[in-house]
Amino acid sequence: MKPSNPIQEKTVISDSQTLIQMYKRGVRNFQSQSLRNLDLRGLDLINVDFSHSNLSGSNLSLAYLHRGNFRDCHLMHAQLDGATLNQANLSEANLRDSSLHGASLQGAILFGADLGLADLTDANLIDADLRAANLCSANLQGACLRGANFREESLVNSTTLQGAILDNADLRGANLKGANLDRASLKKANLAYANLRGVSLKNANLEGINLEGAVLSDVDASDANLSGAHLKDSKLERINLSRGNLAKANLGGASLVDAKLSYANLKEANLRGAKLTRSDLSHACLQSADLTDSAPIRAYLARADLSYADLTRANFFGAELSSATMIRVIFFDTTLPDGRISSS
Amino acid sequence: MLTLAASLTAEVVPMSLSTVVQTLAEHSEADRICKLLQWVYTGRWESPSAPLGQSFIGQVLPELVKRTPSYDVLERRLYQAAASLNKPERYKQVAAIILQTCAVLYSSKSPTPSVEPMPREILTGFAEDPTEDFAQTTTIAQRDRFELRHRVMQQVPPLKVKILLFSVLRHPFSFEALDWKELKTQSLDIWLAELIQTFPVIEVLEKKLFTQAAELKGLDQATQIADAIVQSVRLETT
Repeated sequence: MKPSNPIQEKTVISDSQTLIQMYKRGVRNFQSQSLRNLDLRGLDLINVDFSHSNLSGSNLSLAYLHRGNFRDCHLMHAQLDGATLNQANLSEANLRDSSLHGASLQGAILFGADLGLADLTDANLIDADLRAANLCSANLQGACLRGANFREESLVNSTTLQGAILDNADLRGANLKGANLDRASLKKANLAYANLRGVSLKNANLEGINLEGAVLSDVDASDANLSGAHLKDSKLERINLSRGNLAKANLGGASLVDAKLSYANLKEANLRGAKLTRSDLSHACLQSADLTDSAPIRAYLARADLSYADLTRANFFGAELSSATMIRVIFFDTTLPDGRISSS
Repeated sequence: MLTLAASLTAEVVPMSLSTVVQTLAEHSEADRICKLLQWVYTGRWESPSAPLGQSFIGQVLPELVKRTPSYDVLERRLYQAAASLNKPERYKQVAAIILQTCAVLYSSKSPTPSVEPMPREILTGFAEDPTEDFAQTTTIAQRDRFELRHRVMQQVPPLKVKILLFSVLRHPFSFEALDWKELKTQSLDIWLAELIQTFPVIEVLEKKLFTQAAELKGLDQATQIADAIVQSVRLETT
């Protein structure tokens, strides 16, 4: 026998009290309801089912919504500050311009959700599923996204974080493969060991970011600001950093094989032990950079400025250095393009 | 009331100031003098491991005198600060020592300009001498702010953590618009850093958090939140 659904048959929920009373009586199914502008602050609504419902403008701040079902729910302009949404299903929900300041969404499913312009400052998104989510211009300052999944399903479904603010966010180990972070701000964010393969970071602000051990192969970070960034031992094969600002960045041990660094600013950058095979450093500024033990084998350094750079034991075999500026460069056991060792 | 010495201009004469600094630094109660000056100046109580001494007095005293150019105001502040401590009588004697020594820096002819407000902590009686209350203390060693935040966030909703921290570091959260505004303008990271800077000793931090959690109205599971913060900080220190 098909269980009856008292909501659809008889009850119209016009206010919070009605909903609260029904929940207390054991009702959990509130699917496809119009529940706009309700005040549900601080309520215990664990396991509630609001799928396909309209909760736009409602206030669920500090509410307990663990394991709730909000699939395809309308939550535009909703207040969810400090709400607990751990393991909740918010797939394809519309959370546009909602406020989730300091909310807990650990393990939540946000597949395909629209979080454009949402405030997720200090939110807990540990292990959240953010595949195909829209986070355009969302504010994720200070949010923790460790283990969050942004992995690309297809070009159509890649997570978009264009213009998002992720300053100080924690994305350690996150999988952002294929995500779009153009113009995003990730100042002092932590993305150590994160996977950013194929990510777009054009004009992004990554000042002081921690990318130690991260994978940034095939990334487009042209015109990005990475001054003071920590890129020690990171994988940057084929990365496009043309016109990028990497002043004082730490690229010690990084792999920049086939990287594009034309017109990049690498002033005082640490490139100790970096692999720069076949990289394009034409017109790049490498003033006072530390290239000790680096390997710019067959690199293209036409019109690059290497003034005051330290080239101790660097290997420039086959590199193009003919038109580079070399004022007061330090040569010590440096391998020149023709294979000779220079220590002058 | 002590009589004032020969007049000075509103500007402190360096020679007298250095003598005052030296006198206080060489006093047998120099340690308590430093603590009381620090308390009056910043509203923070220094743990014994913090470097305090002549150079400290030399830095703080001129600034304090600048902020309280009237002897009367300095006298009021020192005694009010001493009264807010666990051992008020002892610190009132320390206040008297400071006042007696600093009297030479003030002139009866100087007008009393507007003064900067005292640190909120003194006004709200938010004071303790942490090192004298506990037989054994543990100084918090901060290593990784991301790690600390990660630990705390995993246990309790971040916004609730901020509400409790606000209540400890400012005043009990009122849930009114002004408090929400101040709470949200500072990230959780900064609140945690301020907490540890204000209470660098775990035992004191623990007491403050649990006391506030017990008294705070309108915040569910406040004690659990306090516990989550303390445990996370302990893990950072071990």
